[in-house]
Amino acid sequence: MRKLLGVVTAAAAIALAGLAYAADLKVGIMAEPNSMDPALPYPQPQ
Amino acid sequence: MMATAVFDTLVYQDEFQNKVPGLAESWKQLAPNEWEFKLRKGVKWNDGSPFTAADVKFTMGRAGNVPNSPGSFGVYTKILTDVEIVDDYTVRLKTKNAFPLMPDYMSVLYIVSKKHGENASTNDYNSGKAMVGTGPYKFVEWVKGDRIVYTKNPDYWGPKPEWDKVTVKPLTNTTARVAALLAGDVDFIEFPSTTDMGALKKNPKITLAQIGSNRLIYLHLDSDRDKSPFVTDAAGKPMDKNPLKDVRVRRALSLAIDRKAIADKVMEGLSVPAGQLMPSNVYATVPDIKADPYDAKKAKALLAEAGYPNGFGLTLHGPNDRYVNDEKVCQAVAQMLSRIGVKTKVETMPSNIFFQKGSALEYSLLLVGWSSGTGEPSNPLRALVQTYDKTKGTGSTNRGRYSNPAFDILVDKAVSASTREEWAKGTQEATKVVMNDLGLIPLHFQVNVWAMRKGLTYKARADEYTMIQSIHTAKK
Repeated sequence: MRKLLGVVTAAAAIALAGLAYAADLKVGIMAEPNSMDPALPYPQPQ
Repeated sequence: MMATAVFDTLVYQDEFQNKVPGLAESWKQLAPNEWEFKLRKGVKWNDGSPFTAADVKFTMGRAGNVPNSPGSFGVYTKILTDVEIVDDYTVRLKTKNAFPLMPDYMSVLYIVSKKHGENASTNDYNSGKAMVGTGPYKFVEWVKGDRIVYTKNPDYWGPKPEWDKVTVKPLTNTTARVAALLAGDVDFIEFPSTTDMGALKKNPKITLAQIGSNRLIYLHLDSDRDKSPFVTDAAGKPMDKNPLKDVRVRRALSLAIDRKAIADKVMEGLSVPAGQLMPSNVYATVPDIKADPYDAKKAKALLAEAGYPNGFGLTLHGPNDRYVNDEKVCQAVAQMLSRIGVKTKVETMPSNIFFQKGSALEYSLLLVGWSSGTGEPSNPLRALVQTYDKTKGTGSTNRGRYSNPAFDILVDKAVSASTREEWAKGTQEATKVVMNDLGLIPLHFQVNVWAMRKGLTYKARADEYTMIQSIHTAKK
């Protein structure tokens, strides 16, 4: 019974990890903005 | 890009920079100098309060008046003489003169909450205190130098955002950025290097998205001063005369450049030769202006005609970390100019130093780039080649100090035309004049590329923006 519970728990963990993967996104950008202020243009036109 | 996830503009720009409804559902020109915007109802700020016309009016007051702004939005707001709130969902924007570009200007100003923006400083946005938006994602945190984190906004008025959490990491080194994607450290990157493209295309675990960019790479020439600091005679001695003032010399330099070879060999296919300031598929550009063809013979003849049969010397200055392969493009251009007898040296440097020195007019010939924020050609015409005039706000980035009064009048007339059709016609006319006179030498339009793990999609954008709300899981 304990072994079965372990298998179920492991399966659930894998499924959750899969869900987390599907719902999270990581993006790499080429330059960090100077500010988050939406009144400061980013990226610069030049 | 950071703002587009959290804040909205009244007018959105689609992937080609066409104008489509955003926080404004519709707009119309009531009079040549008055535009009415009908606002979307039922939109909520992240704190649950409703978005109304008061927020628009507040934004128009703030956007151009942020202290210590390195690139102010003032150019878009100072034309407004009045922002009239007709009711909670109707705003009328008035200008002194007729102004046909209002929807374009309203596509770059992010609307902020009056409640959270009043008395807010830039630091309050950086810390997150004032980061209360209406966009598809909510701001979580900015850890400078490491990450910006967003979470989905379930109350967003548009298409439901897909990702529970988005982490955006600045990876400034191109090789490292590609390596991070291949290692699975990130799912999506912008601007992989041209040298990595072949391998990425063949990699079955990677998907690419690309589109012709609206970013122009061009040469600005000192066409104003009688003596220019980096112009010498053919023997390398300073010259009392500035040959770059002569349009025949400018044309010779343009004809000496083999843009196709640059596209094929330096840019590895990721550039398109340019003959004007925006690609010809953009409204109000000139359909039949082509890039100058490579013609060394004609170039040499023009140099001789202008009085420089033995050529002269130049230094080309440019950045080495700003545009795709910028340093390599500088080297290629210098070699091509040298072939017609204009012996050209290259000096490149980090962009922050380059732009500062370039704006201080320290150079004679510069390699620079420009992307029209508004997605229309009056923007580069006014910023890059109209006569520098601080009061009028024209020529703000005219580092060659090109000046042509006849052209200036055409641009001024176009941007104060009564209708968009008249504006487009006038803009085309102005473009023909300035390209005939080579107020600057267009080189190419970049091609924008994004790379992602297989299973994702992205609608590639002409404006280079990486919009996290446009990254999706591919439909199976």
